[in-house]
Amino acid sequence: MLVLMLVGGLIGMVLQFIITMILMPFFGAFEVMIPLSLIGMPAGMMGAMCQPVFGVTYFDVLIIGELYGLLIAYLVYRSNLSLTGTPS
Amino acid sequence: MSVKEKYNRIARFYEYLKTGDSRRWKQAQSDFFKTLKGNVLYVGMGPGPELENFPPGLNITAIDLSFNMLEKGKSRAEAYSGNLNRLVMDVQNLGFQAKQFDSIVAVCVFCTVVNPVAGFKELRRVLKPGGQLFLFEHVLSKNPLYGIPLRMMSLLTTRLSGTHLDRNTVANVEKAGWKVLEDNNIYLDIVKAIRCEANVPSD
Repeated sequence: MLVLMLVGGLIGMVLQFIITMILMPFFGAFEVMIPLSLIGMPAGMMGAMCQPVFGVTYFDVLIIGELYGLLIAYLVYRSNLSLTGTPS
Repeated sequence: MSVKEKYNRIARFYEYLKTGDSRRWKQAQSDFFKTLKGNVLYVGMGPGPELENFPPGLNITAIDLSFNMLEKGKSRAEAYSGNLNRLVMDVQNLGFQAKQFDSIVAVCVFCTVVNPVAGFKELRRVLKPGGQLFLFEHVLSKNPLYGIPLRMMSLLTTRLSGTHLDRNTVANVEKAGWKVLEDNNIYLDIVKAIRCEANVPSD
């Protein structure tokens, strides 16, 4: 399971980097980098661990990853609101 | 590879990568730069995307370490409604006389300067008494949730472009003898608008 976790985390990090480079010109470097860095690696690790242990399907992993991503994006948005007083 | 060589190399696609930042920060920069006056030193001009956020009619001396980056800003420099001269120069070793400028501007520059405190000391030297320094910079977040990813990404960006994402620019500017008058968060506590004046006039 440890190996799966590491591989999942690594895949998440690589995907995060690629998506950051694609989205950066549209939304801004830090606006993309910060949420994705909090989503990519943890979501990859969780997905890789849960899939064999709990027997969840790839579709379930995808849905859980998306919900986790939305939660992080919302929390970063709220955090920015409290630090700057303006929506991100 | 030196920072100069890195920026000469990435000049081709730098502006494309910065498109989102330029659009996102336009209003914040226009508000921040509206009190710029007189002779202005524009440090690290690059392609100059923030020129359109400067008030018109300034007498600007723009410097950059990279010739290729300055060349990318040629059309913007020519379109600016004021005087603008571009020079290849290192902020750590400015070829200007002391007390020459009324205002100094730097946008996302001190993440890349090899010795930022030395750079800030040089800026203090060339600023007239009563002048101000306007920094629009990204810094390391005090929140570890944001700070740890920034430190990790910094390992990569330092190698690719010489950009440090883990700098404490507010502390560095104070170390160099500046007094911070304004420190506003623009995005989280990472992108900041920092306005300073010289604590003690430079010798």
